[in-house]
Amino acid sequence: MMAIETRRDLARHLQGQMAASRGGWSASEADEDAGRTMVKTYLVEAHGADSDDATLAKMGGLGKKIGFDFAAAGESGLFRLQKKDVTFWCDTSTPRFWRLYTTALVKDADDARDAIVSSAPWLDRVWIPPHYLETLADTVGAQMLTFSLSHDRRPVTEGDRPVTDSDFVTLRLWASNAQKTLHKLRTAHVFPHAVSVRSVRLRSGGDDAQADYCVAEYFHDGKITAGGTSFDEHNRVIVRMLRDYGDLVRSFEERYGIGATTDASGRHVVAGQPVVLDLKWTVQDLEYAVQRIFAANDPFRLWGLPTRVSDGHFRARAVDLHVGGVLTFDITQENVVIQLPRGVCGNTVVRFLNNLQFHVNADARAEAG
Amino acid sequence: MLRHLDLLNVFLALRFKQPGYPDCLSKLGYLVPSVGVTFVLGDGTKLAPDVVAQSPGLTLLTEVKGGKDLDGDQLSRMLRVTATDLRDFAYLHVPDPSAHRVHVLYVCNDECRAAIAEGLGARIATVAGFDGERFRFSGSQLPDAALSRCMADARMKEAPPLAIVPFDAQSEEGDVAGVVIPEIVGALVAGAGTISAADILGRTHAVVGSIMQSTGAGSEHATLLRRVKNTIDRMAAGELAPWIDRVPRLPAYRFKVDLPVEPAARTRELQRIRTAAAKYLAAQQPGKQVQLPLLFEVDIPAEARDEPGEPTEGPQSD
Repeated sequence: MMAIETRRDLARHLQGQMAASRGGWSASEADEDAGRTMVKTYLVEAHGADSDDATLAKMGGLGKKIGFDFAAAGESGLFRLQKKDVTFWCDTSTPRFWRLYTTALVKDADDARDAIVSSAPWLDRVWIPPHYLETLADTVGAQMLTFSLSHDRRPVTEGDRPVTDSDFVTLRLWASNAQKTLHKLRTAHVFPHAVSVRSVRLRSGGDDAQADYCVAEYFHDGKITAGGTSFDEHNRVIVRMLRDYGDLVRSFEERYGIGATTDASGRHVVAGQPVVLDLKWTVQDLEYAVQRIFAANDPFRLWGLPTRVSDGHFRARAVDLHVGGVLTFDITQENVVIQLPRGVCGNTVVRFLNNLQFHVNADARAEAG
Repeated sequence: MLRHLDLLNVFLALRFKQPGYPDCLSKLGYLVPSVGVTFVLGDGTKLAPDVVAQSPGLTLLTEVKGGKDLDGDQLSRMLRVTATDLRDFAYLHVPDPSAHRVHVLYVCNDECRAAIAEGLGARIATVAGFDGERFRFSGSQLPDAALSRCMADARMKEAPPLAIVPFDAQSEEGDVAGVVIPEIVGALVAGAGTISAADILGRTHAVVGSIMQSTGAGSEHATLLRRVKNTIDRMAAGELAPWIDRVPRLPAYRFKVDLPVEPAARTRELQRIRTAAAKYLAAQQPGKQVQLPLLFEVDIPAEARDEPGEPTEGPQSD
């Protein structure tokens, strides 16, 4: 393997891996066993690692806990994590949002990413909203090849008996026009409030047979698997995703983060406003769902002791178990209102909304966008 | 009947954009420069209005009443306050005192409105009674007609206010603990090592913390700090003793153990803390907690956890 000291070295290395994996973009090609692993990219949010020294200190300590060696490469902003056969290259050049690259087998890579992210409260996955995935092909000028849906209300419902046809939906579809099919599936209400896009597979790059291209699958939890002939094309799409995601998270923090601040005249004023998530509950027992959401367990990962404010209104001050921030949730039949204190990570709200979309109602939305 | 704390949050809700509430104070340019802060006038008189709300030409000294008793002496003291006093002794922004009005506003439960208005006699103050849905007014008219209209027209049916001030000096222990405990757990999750009552109060009252700080004559902030400290002391000596204890000779507490790194063990430990905390809260406020088993042993399906194994990349991925 070539020595990787710079981000350009890494791009060349991954370009070679992508080409060797020869990820096809038609259903028949995709079914071929390529024999080489595709490039996996994991998008991760990192707090408080704003310099190489800070990153080394934080990741070094974390690596010891979970058995990874962590070392700086030659170029600032590039690091290597290694544990036995699994190597990650960590590109921290985009502030706050890191890219972890690997060519390890998907199971090993997923396990390693999970171990890294779940072991440090300052790391979180990037939670790509399902509706962003749904429109990603248009956003980046690509073609949607496949999509997968995953909706499951069982974590917030009592008992095992399904109540509706949409209590759980798992679907993966190859189609000649996947995007149109997805649209039809949604508008025909085949699975009411349960069309939660878990991943999309896109072909980006030139259309003709000789053109460089990338075929990649983009998952809602920030994982991307890529093949094709152009790492640059892969890079173009993920940088766009990270910029859009960064804007989304920052907009939650800047617009909604509630707290005291100082205005132009030097006076203390209160800035921010609650986040309102419009939501039609699909579960019959809201109280049970509320208790499950704050039970310090998957998938919501929120620690809280909800109280009943009035009939149909519950309140919980809850700890986000990824970063330790405390938020206040007011839950009623019509909406969920979140007070996000200034300084608490906006990623928490994005993740919570994602979880609502995957486990309660795929059509849940943050008010005004 | 709403409690003092609820009414305080109802009034502060008018300064925020929150669902079900009109942002009357916000859209009419009011700021809230102080909550529960005592200030001393030139003659030594002390005043501690619950909320000071200020627009460019008007300051509302607002007293929130959970009951119907009116403190006549307190009202007399508030009525003596001038715009110049506010500038000189309360450090408020009053660029032109001659054009700035000061008015006293009572916010109370609507069933107490008549009694409080009667207590005013001929003295000039406004009483805003809230019945859970709307405000009704008695006493003198508010000098700001637009604010009066906005509050009178608003309907807040089935829209309890958010906990902008999550607890106050009169709050029951369960209400204080219910807010303090998540902050302790949050600090543990974040790997803080130690915590202090001041840190926690700074977080629980982040929105109003800076405008509750005393400028030397006292404020509710000091009382709240004592409440937080007492709550942590009780927890550290009781239900949360396995996890925190007091740092000798320092106003701080330390975590005795770190959370396990391994995710399943970490979840189990967090659920143990949750059970211990719920026990404490249930003893303080029976019937208020959501009554369901606190530990869920039900296996969550793998696909709901987003674990590998679900159809993911297809056969070409590896």
